Amino acid sequence: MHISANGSTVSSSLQDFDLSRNKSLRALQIMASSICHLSSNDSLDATSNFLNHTLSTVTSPEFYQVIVIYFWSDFFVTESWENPDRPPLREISRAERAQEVLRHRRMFEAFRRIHKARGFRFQLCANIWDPVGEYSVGILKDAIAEETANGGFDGFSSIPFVTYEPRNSHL
Amino acid sequence: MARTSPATKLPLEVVEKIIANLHYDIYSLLACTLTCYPWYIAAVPHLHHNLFIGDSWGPKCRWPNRLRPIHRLGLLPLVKTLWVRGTHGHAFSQTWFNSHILHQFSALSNVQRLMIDHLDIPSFMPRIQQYFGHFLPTVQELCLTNPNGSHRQIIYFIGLFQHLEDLNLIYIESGELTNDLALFPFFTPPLRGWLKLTCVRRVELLKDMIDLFGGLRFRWMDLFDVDGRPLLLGACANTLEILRLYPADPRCE
Repeated sequence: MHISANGSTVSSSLQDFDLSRNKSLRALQIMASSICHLSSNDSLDATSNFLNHTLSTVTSPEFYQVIVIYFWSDFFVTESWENPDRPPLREISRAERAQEVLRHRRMFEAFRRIHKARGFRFQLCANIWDPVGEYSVGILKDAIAEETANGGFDGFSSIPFVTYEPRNSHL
Repeated sequence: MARTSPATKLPLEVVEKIIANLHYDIYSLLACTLTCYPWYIAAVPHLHHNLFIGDSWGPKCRWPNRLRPIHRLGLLPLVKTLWVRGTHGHAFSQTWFNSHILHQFSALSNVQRLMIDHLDIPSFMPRIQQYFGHFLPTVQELCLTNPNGSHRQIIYFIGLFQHLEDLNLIYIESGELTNDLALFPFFTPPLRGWLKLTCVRRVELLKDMIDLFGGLRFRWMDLFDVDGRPLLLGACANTLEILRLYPADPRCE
């Protein structure tokens, strides 16, 4: 990647992400998987630099939110996607659920870094196959509640909120 | 004397609303179809909403075996989402059809979301409408994965669908077949919904699409590993409302 870990270098191809001409832009969407699975501070730096750069080019007066999209594969409960009718669902223990909440809380660090770029609200959108919907929305709400209780969203203009858009299949 | 269940006395409109809540629960829907005729009528559209055809989903889903039983029961008009999966070595081409199969395929008259993997467009030319004409009035969303064809042929295919709002193109590598510059799309579809491009490397295809459709009007864009991103962002400068970003996009490396 041409973005250095400390963010000092900006790749020329980032010019491809210049949104200054898009005057109707209301929101940016990011896939949760691109944030959730960040394993190191370097990759977190690179991702937040990329998002900060893109956000800094936004000039649309309509712009007001960043939407983080979750798919069923972002949650432990499902294991396979090859069956087109019904992927196997499995039981989740209390410990696994707590671990899953914690895993989702870790990505809020990325939220804090990009929130500095400009004021906007975060929407966590579970775009998920219906049988997994209730579970995944519960995980996200718990993650937000725990993070809020720990002051993780202090300084935010509004606390991130969860929405649910059911899919008619998991494909 | 057998007692009639109170549930069977409910008005059909109410039954339809109740059963619609089971849209994702195949087993409950199947149970409903065995209850009584009104419940069967209410449940069966949800059971046949999606139709997936492709070898990778097992013998029951193979072409054309998957079509036959559903056609025999007259249920193909209930299909709203159709996904046909050709493969790299076995592209979805005109050779998949004979007159019987085409007759069955033509009964898919209400498809709104059409997804085709490895569509071999040249094999259907020039009588492509004979095979896809029944989709024209209803298809609003088109997804092509690894289509085979020149820029103009791909655009011609897209332009068959006069009410198309959403477009999803996946894996269109660089390398051009002989382009037929005399080929113009039948319609200029509205294309006011979302544009989703994944691994699309033909900038010329995007340029031709903008030219031949008189610009683009998408409101939602999802671009991953796409050459020509500034072109698309510029073309939709006045309409784009939501953009999906991928921090791991190889184009920002």
